Amino acid sequence: MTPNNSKLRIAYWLVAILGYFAFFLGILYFLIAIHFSIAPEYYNSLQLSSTMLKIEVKDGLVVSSNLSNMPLWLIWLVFLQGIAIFCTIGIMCNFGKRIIQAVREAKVFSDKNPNLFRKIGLGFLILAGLSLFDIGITGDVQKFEIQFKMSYILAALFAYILAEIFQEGNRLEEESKFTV
Amino acid sequence: MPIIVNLDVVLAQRKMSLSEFADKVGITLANASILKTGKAKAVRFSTLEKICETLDCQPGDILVFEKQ
Repeated sequence: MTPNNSKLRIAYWLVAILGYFAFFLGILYFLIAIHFSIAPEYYNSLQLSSTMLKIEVKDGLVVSSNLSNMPLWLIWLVFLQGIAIFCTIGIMCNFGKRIIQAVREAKVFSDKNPNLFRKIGLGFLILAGLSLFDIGITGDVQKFEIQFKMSYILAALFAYILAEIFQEGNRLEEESKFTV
Repeated sequence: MPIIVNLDVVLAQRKMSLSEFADKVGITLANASILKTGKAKAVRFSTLEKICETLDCQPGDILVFEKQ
């Protein structure tokens, strides 16, 4: 019996699209970083943080960030943080896609799924680590905060618990398969 | 696993092929192969009974415990 229902199909495509979108944003951020190195004056009216670049308008005036006056290493650090976050999300979505595909093919308790869940858990821990330092450049202010995102830790814990459940499921399935 | 399955030896002594054995016992050829190659994790009493009946032997002739 293959549980190839429409909800799984939707989940598969949602995760796939999210993954590709994250990779796309990672590549876009990388290209913006390269362009910034070449022509920093284009970015003076932008607000920069690890996961976004936006124009901030206050009282009808664009808040100038003077990014060209900021140390280059700091700006590259922000860009690299963003690229790493997007790529991690993309890789995690790819793992999620493979798990959903296994469920669709009725291979729920295959030996690969526990490892994929562990990798997703590791991905959440990496995301928690990457998001620990929140660097933002707004106007002339450089923001540097240390924030502990509990949601990522909880998601990692949940993924590790799921990995153990799937590991046990795999063990039971193998036992049943090899019982004569 | 310290439990060794001597099915291949007993089958050779009885000059019986694996497919014939599987037919007589009433298990699939794949399961018979799993049993013969020692990949089996468990054997049902009902299957063991049929194996002993087919090969005219005791469970100890097929299953042997060896210390690792």
